Parts: sequence; C-alpha cells; structure tokens
Amino acid sequence: MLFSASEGYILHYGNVIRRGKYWIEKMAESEKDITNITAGLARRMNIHTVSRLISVSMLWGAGVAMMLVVIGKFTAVPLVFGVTVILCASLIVGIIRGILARVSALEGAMTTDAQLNLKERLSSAVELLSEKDRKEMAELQLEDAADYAHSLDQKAVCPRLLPMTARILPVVLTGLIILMYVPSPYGQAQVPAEVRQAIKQAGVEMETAAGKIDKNALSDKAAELASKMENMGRELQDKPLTKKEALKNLSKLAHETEALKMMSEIAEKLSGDITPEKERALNELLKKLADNLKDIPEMAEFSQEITKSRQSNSLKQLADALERMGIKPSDMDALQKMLEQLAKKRRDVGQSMVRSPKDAGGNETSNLKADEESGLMGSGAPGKKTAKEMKEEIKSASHRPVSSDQGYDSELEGQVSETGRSVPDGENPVPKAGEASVPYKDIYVEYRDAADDAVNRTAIPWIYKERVKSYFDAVKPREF
Amino acid sequence: MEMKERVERFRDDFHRVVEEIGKVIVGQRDIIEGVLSCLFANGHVLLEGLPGLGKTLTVSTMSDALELQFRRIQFTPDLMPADIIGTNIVVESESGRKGFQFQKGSIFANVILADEVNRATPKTQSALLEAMQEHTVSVAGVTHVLDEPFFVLATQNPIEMEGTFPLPEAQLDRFLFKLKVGYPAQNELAAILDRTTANETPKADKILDAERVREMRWLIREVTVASHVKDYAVKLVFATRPETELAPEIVKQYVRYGSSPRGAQALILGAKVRTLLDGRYNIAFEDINQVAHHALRHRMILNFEGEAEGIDADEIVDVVLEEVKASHAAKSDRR
Repeated sequence: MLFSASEGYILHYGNVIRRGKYWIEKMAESEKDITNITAGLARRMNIHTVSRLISVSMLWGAGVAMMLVVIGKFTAVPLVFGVTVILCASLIVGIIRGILARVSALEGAMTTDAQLNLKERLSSAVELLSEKDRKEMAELQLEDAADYAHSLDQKAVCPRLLPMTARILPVVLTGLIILMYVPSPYGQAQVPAEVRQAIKQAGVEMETAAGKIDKNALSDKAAELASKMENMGRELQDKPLTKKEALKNLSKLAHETEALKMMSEIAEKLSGDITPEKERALNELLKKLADNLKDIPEMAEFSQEITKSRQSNSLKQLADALERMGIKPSDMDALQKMLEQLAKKRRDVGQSMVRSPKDAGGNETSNLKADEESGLMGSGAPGKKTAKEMKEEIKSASHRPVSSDQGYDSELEGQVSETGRSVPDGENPVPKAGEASVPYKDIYVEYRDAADDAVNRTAIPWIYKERVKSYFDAVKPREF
Repeated sequence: MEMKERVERFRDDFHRVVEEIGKVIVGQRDIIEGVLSCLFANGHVLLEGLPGLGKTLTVSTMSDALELQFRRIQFTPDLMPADIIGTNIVVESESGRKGFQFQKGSIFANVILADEVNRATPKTQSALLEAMQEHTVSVAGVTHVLDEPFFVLATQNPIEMEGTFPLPEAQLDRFLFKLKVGYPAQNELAAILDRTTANETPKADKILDAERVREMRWLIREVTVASHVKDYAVKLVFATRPETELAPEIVKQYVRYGSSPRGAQALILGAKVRTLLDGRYNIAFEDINQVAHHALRHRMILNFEGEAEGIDADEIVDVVLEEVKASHAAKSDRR
C-alpha cells in the first residue's frame, strides 16, 4: 500500500482509492504515524533505488562511451554525438528501470522490518491499514507498530540517499570528458579547429561553385560530376572529416573530372581533320587517359571502351565510342572550371595543415614526421630530396603570395623574369653565385615525371600519391 | 476485559502452567511449551522419544496442572476400537425391558494420553481419526459429541519396532505437532535424581480449568496474519512437495509426498501461540521458523531412497527453511 498524505491517496494492490484531507485528519494517531513513516521510508528507498539504477546504467553507458572515445583515437567517429547518444540512452534506460523498481510502502516496511529486526511489525501494520473492519487485536497491533515506528531512525534503514555508484558517477564522467580531449597519438581523432574551418570553407565554396554550373547544358556524365562536386561540398561542411579524408575525396573527384576532361579533349580533337601531329598528340593523350582511368573504378566502363579502341588502332572507332558514351567537347570549359576549383580546394585544405599553429608541433605534422621516418616522400624523387627538404619547401611555398587560381608565383632566382614569365636560359650560362643553372621549368618536369614514375611503380598509399601530386602542383611554374 | 489485558493474562497463564509442570519435569522446556501450544491451538500432539525420557510423565503432569478430565489409554496389540470409543451394550431396565445403551469409551475425556500409540493395530489406531478431527465419535449410526476442550497426546517409541504398527499417514497428519523428546542434559539428570529418588515427589497444582482453556483457544485465533507472512508459510509447505518448483533438490530426491494443507494450518496456529508469548500481536517469520520442524517433520513421506539412506525429516526441513529464507532475502535485497 502506498500512501501520499499531501494528496490523500491510498494505493493498495493496484487499486486507487481517493481520500480527502478530512479522512486523513480523522485517522487515528497510530495510523497516521505508520502511514507517514512508512511512506517516508519508501520515498527514501525509492530515491536510493532509482539513483542507484540510473547511476549503474550510466556507468555502463560511460564505459561504452569510453570505448567509443578510444576507438575514435584511431578512426574518424563523430565523438560528441556518439557519446551524447550513448549517455542519453543509458540515462533513459536507468530511469525506466528505476521507475519499474520503485518500492511500495509495504515493501519499504518489509525491508525496514528485516533490517531492524522488527519482527514484521511495520509490514503487518501497513497491511492492516487497508482493512475496513478491524478487530481489537488488529488495533493493538497498529498501536504497537506505531510505537516502534516512532522510535525508528530512517537513516538507520537507508543510511545514504545516494548510493556509491551515484557518487562515483561524476568522477567517471569527468574522466570520460578528459579522455575525449586527450590528443590522439595517431593524429586522427580530433580535427583541429583551423583544419576543420578550412575544410568547411572549401566545402562552402565548392557547393557554391558547383551550384553555379548549368547542368542542363552538360552531358550526363559531366552533370553527374557537377552534382557530385556539389554533394561533396555539403559533405565537407557537415561531416567531421579529417584532413586526410577530405583530401582523398577531393583528389578522387579531381581524377574523375580530369579523366572526363581528357575524353572531351580527345572528342574535340577527333572532330576535325586528323593530321599526323594531331594523331601523335592524340596518342599521347590516350596513353595518359588510360593510365588515369586505371585508378578510377567508377569509370571502368569508359576504360574498357578506350582500351578496345586503342587496340583496334582506329580513330573512327574511338570517335564512335566517345559519342556512344555521351562525351561532348562542349563540356571542356565546365570541367576545366571544376578542375580548377578542386585543385584550389585541395590546396586550401592541404595548406591548412601547414598554416595551423597547432599542427606545427601537434598531430598533423605527425604525418610528415611519419613520412620522414619512412622516407616515402623522398624515395622516388630525383636528386634524393628528403622529406624534410620537401616539407620545408611546402612551408616556404605557403608564405608566398597566391596567384588567382594557378598555384604560386615562382620566385626562384634565375627562372622568373620581372614580367612573371620564365625566361629561356639559352645555353645554360654559368650562373652567378646563388643562382640556378638549369631552367626551372625543365627541372620541374624532370622531377615531376620522376616522382610520378616512382609513385606509380611503388605500392604506396593513395594519400601519399596525392601528397606528392599536390606538392608538384604547388610548385609548378606559371606556364604549366 | 480489554484485549491487551487478555493477551497479558494469556502469557501469564501459559508461563504459570509451564512453571507448574516444571516442578515435576526437569528440563524439556521446549517439549512442555510445544505440548501446551498444541493444547491452546486446538490441535493434538505426538511425542516421540526413547523409553524413560518422561513422555508419559510430562503428559500426566500437564493434566494435573489443568483442571480437565484426563484418561490414559495404553495402546496394546489386542486393544479394540470399541475399547476406545465405546460400544452399545444390552441393558435391562427396572421394568425388565431390555435395550441398547451406549457405553462411553475412554476417549470421552478432555485430555487423552494415547500411550505407545504405535503398538495397537491400524484398525484401533483409526478409531481416533474421527475423534481427533471432528471431535465426535459415531457408533451404530449415532454421533456422540466429545467434551471441549478435547486434546489427544500420543507417545511412541522410535526403536523396538518389532510388533508395532507405524501410524498411517492420515493419522499422522491429524497431529498438529510431532515433538521429539531428547535426553536430559547432565545437570538436568542430576535434578531428576533428586526429585525421583526421595520419599516425597513433587506434584503439580491445578492452574487452568476447561473454561479458561477455551478462552485461551479463542484468543489465539484472534491474532491476524499479514499476507506476506501467510505467503511465507505457504511457500514452506509448497517447498516440501517434490513436484513443485519451490522444492529444493533434497526434497525432489528423497520425498515422495509433501505436507498437506494441515501443515500450513499447523505453522500458522503454532506461530500465533509464539506471537502472543512474545508479547506481540502480529506473526513474524521467526515464529513460523520456530515451529516449522514440529509442524512439518511428520507430514513428509520419504521415498524408498530416503528411507534406505536413513534421511531424517528434520534435515529436509532445515534445507527447506534455508532455501525459502534465501529466496525471501534475495527478493528483499533487490529492493
């Protein structure tokens, strides 16, 4: 039976009988005492039970959340969202369990009897309260129980309102929060604010640029790529991607766009008369395209068609295949713009690593450190440039003024004239002290090709290939 | 008289009778209290013990302390039912007319001592069935009501089983308690020697009359029982039945039949007496635990395996109590 003196309810075995305050006042003193004291005991036990179940549930939740945080140190996981969901779910489970485990006044009295060895005085009396026609012996029993109820100390029955689990919960939760903000030794857990901002900004710009493209005027494939770019822009804004993931996605899309642009270019070249010179250029382009398509599983269909055409050695067949695939020369401009956008965004995101003051000594440089240790960056480059040297170059490049959308102005002495164009160095005259003897564009092409060969020959992760490519994009001369 | 005074008087009278019997009987306090509990709970008692432990003396002393009509029936193999309940005999009136007249048997008294009850044949033992349950006897189609209070105390010897007839289950079930009389302690034996080897032997005085016993019986039934306490008694009884889920392993292994509902009645009635003696008005689990052995040990019929391994019913009751207590405590802990 559960009694609430303030509201005047008697609950007995699920039956609710509403009683007025008058009725409560009419109750005998002994009944009032038993009613109030057992209700107080039950309330105290309920606070204890509910808080225990909630805290136990939340401790489990905190444990699971800690596991998630640890996993988040190695992979990109939306930590704050995940931890919040887990803790909220455990809180709800705890509350439901607590509500279901609530004790009635009778159960509270039984527990009290057991703890204080009252020989079932209180519980028997609580049960007698609901009887209408009580015998004389029952009244005596109520009086006897009331005497005991008066003298009992509620704290002796339920010493603490909050159980041990509830008291250690704040400590565990604090530990969880601290763990969330501990930097990952692998640099993949938390995206630094500056990098995140750069990725977001790139996303906004990409979405806007892609939105401006008139997709109706494009071929299906080009329109699809434009939509893809728009979606990627949104993804960069919304998803907590790491810099590595953002760069990877951008590069992948750039690859696809570049391949499509090349196909459009081939289609354009095929439209007119084919001169031997043009044919040579076409073959060169086809070779490059075939290499490019190898890395793009999404364009396997195109790759097969191109390979077939190349094997048959028939330009007519190639022109037919491109037409069948819906490749239009008119897409070139739009694809070029998209490529420029993607290159710029890749650069922006890539530079965020170098610019971020946090990165200077923190997580993000760890990738470069790892490169240095593994020697991956310098392994295939001619002249045996080390990763450290390349990093220095990237750093110095980041401090240069950025031109509109073609990368950085070259400021290397001996290669750039005052007008900003490369000057042929003719017979490679003997340079002055501190000047280079080889034209920059020559050395650039040589190095870039060697780097390309190296990364294509060696099984290295995609991201490192991208990094090498980004590097050469960043330092390419204006003419390119 | 107010109820509180009645309860206090009950306690006083009970203890006075115990003290009075204690003048003659040394020790055996549990047995004396058990016997009196059965008397006031309106039940019958079976005393089992080795010869010479004072079973018969205890009963006769109790009858001395109570102003009640006492009869002793010595059960022997040739004892006939008619010797106990009575029979119709042919009587000639003054006018010379002959007719049947009911000659009351020994059972027509308030306190009956059925001494060595297992020495009579089952036919004779069964003569007690109706009297013990209904407090009536039926002879030649006529039912005769016995005087109240009616109380049967039977004794039996657990050894010397040769030539005895174990009480049938129906008969055993009619005894509220089965009390086991043990050996007296060393100091008690010395006191027994003092009291029984001198010329003067102590004698108990009359303390209670039939009317007072009836009042005390009424008072016991006034004690109310809370539902959770009743549940506890019910669980104990169910746990003695091998086919129930509550039965512990030992019951499933060694018991063929568990306690009847009379077992639960015995638990509650015995507990009510203990409640009043403890100065309370409500039954506690502890009261039930205290009478559990007395009330359940003779109501469990062991199977062949149990008999063969010499399992004592008290061991089974111990396990049943532990299991039911544990499940009760676990429920309490969850809260």
